[in-house]
Amino acid sequence: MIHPVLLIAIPLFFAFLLPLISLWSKKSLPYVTTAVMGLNTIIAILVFLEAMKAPIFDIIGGFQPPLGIVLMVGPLGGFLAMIINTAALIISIYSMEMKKEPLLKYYMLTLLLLMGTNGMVLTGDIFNLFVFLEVTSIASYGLASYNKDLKGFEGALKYVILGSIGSTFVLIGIALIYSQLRTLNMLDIARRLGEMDPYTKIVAFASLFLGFGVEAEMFPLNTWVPETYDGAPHPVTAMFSSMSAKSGIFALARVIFTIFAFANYLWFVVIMGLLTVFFGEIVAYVQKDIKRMLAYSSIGQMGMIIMGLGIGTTIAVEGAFFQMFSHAMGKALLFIAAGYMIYAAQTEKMSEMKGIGRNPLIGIPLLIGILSIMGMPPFIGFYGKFYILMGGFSQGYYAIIALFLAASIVEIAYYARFIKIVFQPSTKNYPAPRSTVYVPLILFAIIIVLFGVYPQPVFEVLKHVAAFLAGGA
Amino acid sequence: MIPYYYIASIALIALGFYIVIAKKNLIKIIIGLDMMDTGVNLLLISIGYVKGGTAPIENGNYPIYVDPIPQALVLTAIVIGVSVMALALSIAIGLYKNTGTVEIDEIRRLRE
Amino acid sequence: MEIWSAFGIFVLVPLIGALLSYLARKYAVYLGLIFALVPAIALYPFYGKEMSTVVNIGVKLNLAFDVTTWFFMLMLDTVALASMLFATSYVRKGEGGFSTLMLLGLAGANGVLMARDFLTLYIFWEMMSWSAYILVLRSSGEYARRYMLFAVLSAYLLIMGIGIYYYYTGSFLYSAASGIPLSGWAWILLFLILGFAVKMAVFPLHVWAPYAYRSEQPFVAFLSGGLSKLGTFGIFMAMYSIAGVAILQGFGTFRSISLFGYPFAVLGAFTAFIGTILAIFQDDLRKLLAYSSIGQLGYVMVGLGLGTPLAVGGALFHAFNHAFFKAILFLGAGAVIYRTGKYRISELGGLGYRMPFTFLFVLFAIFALAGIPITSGFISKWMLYEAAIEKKFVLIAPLMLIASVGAFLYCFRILYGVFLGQLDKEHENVKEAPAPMLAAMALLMLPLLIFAIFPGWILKWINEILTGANIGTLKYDTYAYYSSIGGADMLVFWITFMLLFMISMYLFTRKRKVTKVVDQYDNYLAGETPPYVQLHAAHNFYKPLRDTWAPLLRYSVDRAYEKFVKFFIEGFEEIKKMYTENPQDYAAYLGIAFLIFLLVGWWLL
Repeated sequence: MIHPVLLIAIPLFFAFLLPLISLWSKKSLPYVTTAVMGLNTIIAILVFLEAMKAPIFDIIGGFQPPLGIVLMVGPLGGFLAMIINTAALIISIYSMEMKKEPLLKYYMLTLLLLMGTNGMVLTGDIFNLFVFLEVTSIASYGLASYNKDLKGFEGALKYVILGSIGSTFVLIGIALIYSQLRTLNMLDIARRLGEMDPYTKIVAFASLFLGFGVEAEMFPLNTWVPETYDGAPHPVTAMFSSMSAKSGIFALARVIFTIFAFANYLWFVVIMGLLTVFFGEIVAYVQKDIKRMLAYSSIGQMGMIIMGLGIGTTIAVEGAFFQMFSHAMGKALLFIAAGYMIYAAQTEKMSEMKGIGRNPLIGIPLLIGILSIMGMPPFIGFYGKFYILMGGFSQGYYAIIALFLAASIVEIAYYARFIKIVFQPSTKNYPAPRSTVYVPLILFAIIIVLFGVYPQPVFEVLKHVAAFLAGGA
Repeated sequence: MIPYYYIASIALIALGFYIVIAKKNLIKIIIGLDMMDTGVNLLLISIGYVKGGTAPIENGNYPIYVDPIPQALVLTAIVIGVSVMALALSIAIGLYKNTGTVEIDEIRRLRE
Repeated sequence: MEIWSAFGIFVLVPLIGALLSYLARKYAVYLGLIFALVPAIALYPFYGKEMSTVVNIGVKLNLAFDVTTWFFMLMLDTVALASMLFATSYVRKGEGGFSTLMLLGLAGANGVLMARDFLTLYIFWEMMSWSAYILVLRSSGEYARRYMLFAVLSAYLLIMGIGIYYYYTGSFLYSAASGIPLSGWAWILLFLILGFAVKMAVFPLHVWAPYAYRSEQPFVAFLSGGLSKLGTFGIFMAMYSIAGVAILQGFGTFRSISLFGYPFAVLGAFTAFIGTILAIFQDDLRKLLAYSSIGQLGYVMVGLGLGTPLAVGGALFHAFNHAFFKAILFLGAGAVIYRTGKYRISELGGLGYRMPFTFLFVLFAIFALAGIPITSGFISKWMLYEAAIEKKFVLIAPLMLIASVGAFLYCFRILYGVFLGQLDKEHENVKEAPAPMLAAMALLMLPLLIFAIFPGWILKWINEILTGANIGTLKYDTYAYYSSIGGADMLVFWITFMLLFMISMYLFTRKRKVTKVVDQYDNYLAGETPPYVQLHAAHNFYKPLRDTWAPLLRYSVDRAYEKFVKFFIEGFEEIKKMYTENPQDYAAYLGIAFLIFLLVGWWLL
């Protein structure tokens, strides 16, 4: 039996071991980090396989739940942990591109970020969720301002202000729940939710929804996203979109489904998701900087996931989880490619990047990534989008889906514009990508194509969505 | 129905939030964030309060004691709050080093 | 197991070919040819076979093979084969992209034809769309985005239709259609037909076509000849195979034509008219053909909308003919562009003397396009006219006939402007197109001639399709078809034609001995010999006609779309201002959001 706690303990342990290692050899830091993430990925896969059989409840410190702290890993949590760790591993290859000192702190923070996101996905205790949210946030604040330039600091400032207000609200929600139920265990809360005073319940729900909405990039709480993504170092941006955003949205999903099973609040979640998509895609269209465009597009994608969660039927939530997977892979790929492009073209302006994708090592994965994000089969982006939409139809949300599709056309428009610039013939000479750039790109592309052509394993996992919706792990 | 200490903590949170959105000085904004944090901590502590209770030390002498869990939570929350503040302040320092001011409007103006 | 072999040959083989030709770039064009050859040849033993299966890749792909699938595959795979054959001498050597994407598109198209549920349909449809998008991107990057946007619009219209279908049935299977109320059917069919109509470039969804058709000519031949037929297939399937005649008639009838289909027939007639008018005034050869393609597919739409056996049969037949003659025309244009590097009609001329075989093939294709009886294009057009005349549609039939006259005008423009008239000095040394190109065009010409003599052969297949979809039956024999107001007997025609042909050949050869062939200079300049005079009047062709039409030509759907887009982009700029980049505003948004959450919560309580 593999303890899921290892997923949290190993990065934490190594994060604080790194200073010692750096005394011995500074050069080995990236490799040690990558090795740790590889180890974590293996453990995550083992945990996931275990969780597929039955949800794991890992009790910490010997106290039985609901009093003690417990890790609760259902199939979906295990799946998400696996996605996050895989993404972290692949992105950590790209991290080797980082040359700016202090590298020691960079790698420590990366490992802490991994630990926080893992914790958010795995924990079964709502206060622990808050703690891990804060660990993630603190690591993110540090990483966002890592470049120490004005852009980085400004982005980080916005993230700090919104993030800490958000976590304050999370804490308010937790306090209100605790004041009535005297428990922090999620399943316990869910079981006894009926005992709560309805008004307190609404305030608690609104607080938690808002708090995790900040991390899940929900409109209008996502205003920090573009600047923080823009200001952060390139690998960090990839991590934000594929790791912290995913753990945030999973926390949101658990708030919506596991803790509060509000059937009559769901249409509001759909509307919030639609607004998120709308504003994300529309503002992305008028962006001129590549990273900002991708950041807004990321908002749009997260909005789609929120919509899927809000629709709330099995097929839509399956789609939402599939979309989490495809977005984690696709956006990480695009951000890494964007990082290379900014490095090669020495500007963030898309109009200056003519012909940069004509190198097949960049161009082909980039094209695959974009097509996947657009929702084209046979790439993984397709299934999530299609299932979310079909779920919406089965609930009769015609108008909302039509609006969503209109926003989606805007998305196609700006990606097509981007493709056109990137692939048009040009005489400019760009430096060839190093293996630290194209290896992660190709790995992501392989995942995207492989699970797109044969999504059976993913759907096998998503069979557990029905249990999740019923308030399980 | 709502106890008065709830009102106090909510007032603190609201005040902090007001400072965040109204004051132009970065340091003040960070203080506002801290006030919000303090307000929530007060809320948590007051939830665990039991009338006439003592410190939660189980030795059989005091049958009534306050709920220990909120206190543990608050300890954690304070630690987290402190580290967030530290980071926020260091970001403020970074902005100051880059722009020479901590006024939000100035920073925005300088960037353009 | 047999269906597996069908799935393997028609979908997996092209996919494998795509992968291989990307990996082995050096031999990509030849690999492409081989892998396009396999499905095109293997198609023949599959005639008349009916089978179905479910492939489970996580989602269930319901596939089947029947005579409709076979009929459409016959066009698509043959056109694809001809395009790949043409491409062996057209595309630069050592380029993997072209064959890879063509084969991906072919696999997607075959998948669409074999799909028996909407999810499968959509997967293959999109696969076909994006591979075509990248092919457009390769050569005319400017306009690829327009193609993509319309391809995606088509896909999203399909999604709307599929979604409403799913709402009523809870399933993606075509066969699950039962218990859907009429209002539901109206929406489903409307969205599905519009979605498929984008691929067929039906007015006003046609604006992508003239630009996309500027890409590499072998691909354009496949796009116009092959892929646009998927629109035909889709509409046929949605209207007659999924919904069925009974439901269409349930909407009410007008002269026994479904009131649901009738507007689409009118739209088709308009498309035929507008496409033709616009084609007349194009100077760019490729654009002319593109508008002509729009016009011709308008005819098909008329037939599909009317829904009588004669109309649908004519539509399917015309789609079949269009696949072949339009592919020849685009390939012929490709051959001309390949040899001269020019695509403006006014800059060409007299090439018939230098490229006689290309000229011959293009001539036959033009006969088919214009509906001249020595090719099968005549029969299909005649069927469509009769279908409209039979029911006395005074709007549709005249529009179609005017469009047909217009087709003569632009056909003549191609013939005269490109192949006849004075040969330009710089084209003195132009050679005939390479053998693979000619072979490709010859391959495509065969069915046009064969079915002109034996229309019964193809009408047999069409009849099977029509009976399968419960539309009715056609009256036909090997050489003719019959309708309530006449029909066409090709045996009589051919006998008359041969007689007349022989007589005129005899007269011509006899007369030839006494006539003297005069040089164009002698003919025009009355014996004077200036060094060089431009005698080729291909510039400003049809100017008087153009002047007549000028008031109407001012209105352009293109510009309407551009204005529409501009309006929205300005709106986007306004919305962007919401992101003020001031953290305090953002914090205020947060507070407002919290209040809204609370209010909604209380309201819902």
